[in-house]
Amino acid sequence: MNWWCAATGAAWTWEWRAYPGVWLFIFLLALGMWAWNRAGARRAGRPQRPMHPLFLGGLVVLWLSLDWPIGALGAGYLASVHMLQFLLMALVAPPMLLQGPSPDALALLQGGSIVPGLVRRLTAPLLALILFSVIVLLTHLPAVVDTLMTSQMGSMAIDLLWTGAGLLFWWPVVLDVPVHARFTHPVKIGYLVLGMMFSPIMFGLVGFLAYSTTPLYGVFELAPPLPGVTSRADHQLAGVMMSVGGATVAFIAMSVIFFRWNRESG
Amino acid sequence: MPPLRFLSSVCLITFALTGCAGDRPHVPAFRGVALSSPVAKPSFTLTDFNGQSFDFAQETRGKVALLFFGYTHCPDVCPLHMANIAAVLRQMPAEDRARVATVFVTTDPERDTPERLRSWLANFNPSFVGLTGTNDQIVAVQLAFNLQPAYREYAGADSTNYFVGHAAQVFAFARDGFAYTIYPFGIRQEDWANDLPRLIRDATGAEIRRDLAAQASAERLEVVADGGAPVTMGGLYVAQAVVAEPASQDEAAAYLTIRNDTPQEDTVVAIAADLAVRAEIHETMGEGEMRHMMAVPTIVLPPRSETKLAPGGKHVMLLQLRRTLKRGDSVTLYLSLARAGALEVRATVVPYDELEKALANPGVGK
Repeated sequence: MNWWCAATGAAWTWEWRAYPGVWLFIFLLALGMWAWNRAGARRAGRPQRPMHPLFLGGLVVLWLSLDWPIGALGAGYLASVHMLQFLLMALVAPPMLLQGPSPDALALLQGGSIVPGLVRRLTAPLLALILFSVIVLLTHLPAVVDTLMTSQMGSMAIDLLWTGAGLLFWWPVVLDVPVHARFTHPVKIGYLVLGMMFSPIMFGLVGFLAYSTTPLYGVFELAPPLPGVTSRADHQLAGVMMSVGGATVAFIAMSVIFFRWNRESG
Repeated sequence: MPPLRFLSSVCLITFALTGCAGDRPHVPAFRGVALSSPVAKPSFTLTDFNGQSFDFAQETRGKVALLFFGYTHCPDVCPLHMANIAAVLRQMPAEDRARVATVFVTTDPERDTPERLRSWLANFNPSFVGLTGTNDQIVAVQLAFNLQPAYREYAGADSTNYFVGHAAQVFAFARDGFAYTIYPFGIRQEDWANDLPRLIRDATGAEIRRDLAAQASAERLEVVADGGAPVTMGGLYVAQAVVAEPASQDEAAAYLTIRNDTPQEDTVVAIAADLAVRAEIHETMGEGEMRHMMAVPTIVLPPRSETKLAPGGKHVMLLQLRRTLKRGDSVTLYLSLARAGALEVRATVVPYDELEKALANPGVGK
């Protein structure tokens, strides 16, 4: 039974397929956020606020990137759609999902127990940047992609790593809990430039994808072809998408930070 | 450590390591699967997509000839092979491209009209040649290459909607008229880019033979091995091939272990043997008195898995033996795989009471 999108080697058809693992994952994310907010509201003695619309939007983006057809095409047919998935899962959905926890829920992280301590450590900007860059690099290595994308567990591992790395990367930018006093607005802009816009990791990957004379990923090169799409063009498009997509998301985020900085200064 | 001493140490270690690599100059390995013995270009004549007679040996003389059997409705293997060859040819100099003839023989002459063949191949490269003929002619050509003739697999009740099971490897004939390597499904553009220029460069085949011999010696590549030694091809490894010394003069059972190290599922679609008129895949079903054998059409080899054909489970039945088999005899089994193509393995005949020991030998090794 197919519960998660993975490369199957079967010819592509536009016949809808169900991936219940994806639905369960999205449901658990929504349930987890609801439970977290509920716990925060109970502790603060206030009524629970409704889900933030951006969080719901983030869930929709994540669901669209994981489910048929984007999930299926990206898992086993087109490197460019695989890259679209990366952009949605690691760069677009996480900042939206991070709007989910209420201030009362975030207050739960200010205690001294194991989980708050772990969150504080992992979301420290330098470590988050390093973890994000390492995960982006590892999950784009041809040997890793060609090995993992052929199994549902492997494909799910890549998807979860992207989402998890994106949440870590965006956390210090979007949330002020825990407080990192030196992570000011201009530093945040520098963080986004280094992590996304001019990331040496992403630049290297873009170079290999766009300028390699032969396709980088065997799983997409040897997938049943889609009419009119050559593997080389598909890989080149993936490179362009990573470059343009990463820069666009970073530019939007930097603009938001800049105007917030400007407002707070003025 | 002082910088100069550090630098000299690095140089010494580098020198020692490169020295240990051997005194033979480094020869980049062929990525295609080396054949145990070169195959001479067979002579056959079919009709090309312009309706002209096409003598394969004559028309491709002095060129690298890439020959593939496929069909234009194929959803995966055929368009991928053609696309990958075309992509690599596009990046080669014009004079090199002119020395390559890519010939596609349809295994579905009913649907692959000359017009369809021409337009389908032109999508990849206008220099590709499509050949067709009668069913009997095409079967005869496949048999000349020791291939299992292509067969139809119907997807439903609709008799016009079918897939064609066919060999998945490209035969690459060097300019001297011999095929030294074949290219099963799974071969990538980077593999073609590595091998094609070397096939083009060598007009006599001398360099190819020398390089393949060096490669076999360096990598212990055993394409066809004697007496149950492991056989490797395109990520598939076959070992522990044995035939139980038969009590009957008419039939015998063969067992082997196949490891599929590729990320793709493959399927054994047919088996033949040199010392039997027919070979079939059988599976032992049921328990006790209900125990019986049933012929099964295929053996599916899941990706990255090991499949054992062993007593009590799936095995190969050699039927109508051509002669009595005795311990120590060697039987050649020809496995036809949907993706990897043809695989040849020799199985040693062992007494039944030594079968367990023979099958318990170390697993399939690289």
